Amino acid sequence: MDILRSDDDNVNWYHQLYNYALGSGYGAQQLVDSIARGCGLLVELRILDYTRGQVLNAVDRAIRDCVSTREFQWEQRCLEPIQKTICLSASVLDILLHRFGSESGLVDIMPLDKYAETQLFRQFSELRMSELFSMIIDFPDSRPAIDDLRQCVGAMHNMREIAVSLRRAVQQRLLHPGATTSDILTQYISTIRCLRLLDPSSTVLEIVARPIRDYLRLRDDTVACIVQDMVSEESELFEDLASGQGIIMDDGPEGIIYDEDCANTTWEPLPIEAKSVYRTAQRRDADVLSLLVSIYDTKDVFVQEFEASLAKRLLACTDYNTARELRQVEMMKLRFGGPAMERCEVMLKDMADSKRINQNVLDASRAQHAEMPLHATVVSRQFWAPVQLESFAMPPKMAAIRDRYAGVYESLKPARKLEWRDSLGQVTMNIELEDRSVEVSVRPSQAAVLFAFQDLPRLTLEELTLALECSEDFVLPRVRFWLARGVLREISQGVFEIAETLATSNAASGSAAGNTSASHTRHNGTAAHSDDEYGGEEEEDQESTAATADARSEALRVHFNYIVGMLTNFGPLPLDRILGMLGMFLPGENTTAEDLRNFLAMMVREDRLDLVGGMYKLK
Amino acid sequence: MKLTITDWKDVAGWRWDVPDDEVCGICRVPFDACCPTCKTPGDDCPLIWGECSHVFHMHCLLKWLEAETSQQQCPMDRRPWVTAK
Repeated sequence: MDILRSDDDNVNWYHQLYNYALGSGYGAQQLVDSIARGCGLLVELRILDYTRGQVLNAVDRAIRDCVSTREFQWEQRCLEPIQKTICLSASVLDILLHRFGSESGLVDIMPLDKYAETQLFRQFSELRMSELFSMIIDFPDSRPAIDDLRQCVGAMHNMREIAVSLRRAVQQRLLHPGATTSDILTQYISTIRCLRLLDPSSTVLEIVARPIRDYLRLRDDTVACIVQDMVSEESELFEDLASGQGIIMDDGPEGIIYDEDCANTTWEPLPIEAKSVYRTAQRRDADVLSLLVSIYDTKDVFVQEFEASLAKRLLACTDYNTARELRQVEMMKLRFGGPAMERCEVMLKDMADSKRINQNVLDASRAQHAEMPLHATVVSRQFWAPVQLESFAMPPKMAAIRDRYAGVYESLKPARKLEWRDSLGQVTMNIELEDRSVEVSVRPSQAAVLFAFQDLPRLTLEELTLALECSEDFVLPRVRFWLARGVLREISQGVFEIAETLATSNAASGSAAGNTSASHTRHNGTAAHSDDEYGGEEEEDQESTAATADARSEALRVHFNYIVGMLTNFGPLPLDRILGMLGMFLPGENTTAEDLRNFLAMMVREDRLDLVGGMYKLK
Repeated sequence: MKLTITDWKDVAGWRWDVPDDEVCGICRVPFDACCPTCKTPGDDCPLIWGECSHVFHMHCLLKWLEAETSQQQCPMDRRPWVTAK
């Protein structure tokens, strides 16, 4: 009688019983015996009908225990085995209880197996719902868990609830400044795929997708990330692009969307959360790439970004081999339409032409038994993004090589001239010093600085700026580049010379700029080479970003008259007012506050504006 | 110190040998871009020089000369159009 001392004990008793029923090694006979004994006791005490709640509680607890052991086990299906065990055990218990209960004529317990199944689905989907965000991170490894959850959704019809809970998790864990844009994009793509598995009609997709889309639109680098993903061949987006389905059109007429909906017999109304602002219906069948592109109202931003990334890759390409880029452009054409890719086609044609011209120049040089180390990419200026011009005079030896190339070009293409773009390109050269020789790949301007030292091994900063016809600001970083590599050294303030031997280079390492050079020159030739390449690239990246920012500010110069007009009419204005009004006068120009600030700062430097207390005013 | 350039990957932009910032007098598009009917500049859309020293996209000028109102004159100075050799 001890076991029936209190309610708690009752629960424990059933709980244990149930655990036994789940097959923990207890023999079936023993199980039946103990249940029979227990029920007998209850009947005797005439309390079986009071204990119904306890039985159900015990079942709940047993299910909870069972479900909780499956936390984070996503790599295999686990709902079905649990369901089998639990339903089987529940029906055994049910039969026993009924048998003994009805004998006494006192109880009418609902079918336990149905109850247990519903409870199981509820508890299991609650568990997976709370884990869904992490499951999506692990997708597709967590595919079995998603399938389990789908089974629950089929029984419980709680997709809405799941989506709302996922949205909460997304807002908490994903949409914050700590997450990188590419992480958010990856998670967004996986989320779309998972939700489509869970709910093939995609009616609730928008509940989760919308906050992510809204957030992504706020980030500056979203377009760049998508385009980068789109063209890297391992990515899923690339597969979408390669499949060539679904041409993305700019805003189609709304009417067509409704027609499509009417034709669709499995149509379901959109949930309230998924307001049709983003034309969800159209998006249901769209592939992931279309979904990403539709984050923005216009496809132009993607075309522009693709052009920029294509230009960068083509200019970095050293062997004129554009097979991969050609394929990308073809695929982009299928997706975005031919006219959008016209500029890209001109770029590719420039590459093909350059290859032919280069071959001609090589042949011509060979005929004259002259070396031609230069391989040029000749671009059509109007079709490539403008580059920041660097103004300096090439040392005669380098200029001579270019002139020879240009000479052959001009004889091939009459009435045309070449304009060299000094901020692009790469020079690989061999530096022979007295006790060592190094091969480095550097930018033309860096090579030019070193060439300036060829005739006079010792130059002051002033002589250097005269020789290269440029400013100190231009020369100094390039001189530092060579100082760091131990090829130049600073013998006294502003006087540099070639470090012909290592020994003296070490001795000079006491001077401020020489510090780094000592550690570098201790490497032998090969090690120094790799260092050089690394350093060169790093610097190049920094400079090119600075250059594009400058170019963007420079582009604002054409609007300076508007700004002058504004400041004349309204008096001093803060940055955001100027930005707002520019947006009003020039819709379509996506000027960012950053660009405008840079531009206005430039105007202040040029003494055309004054900045007083955050307000810009005319001089 | 001896410097030898072993490989030089360089980038250049080409331009027609015409004064800076000039646009075709007929289509008002820069010479370095192509006329409105073409898609690729350069060889596919060449320029034409007249003896009167005026320059146009070749396609633009031919279309102009085909028009009856042109009376085979240069659109800029109305002198009879003679293509420069």
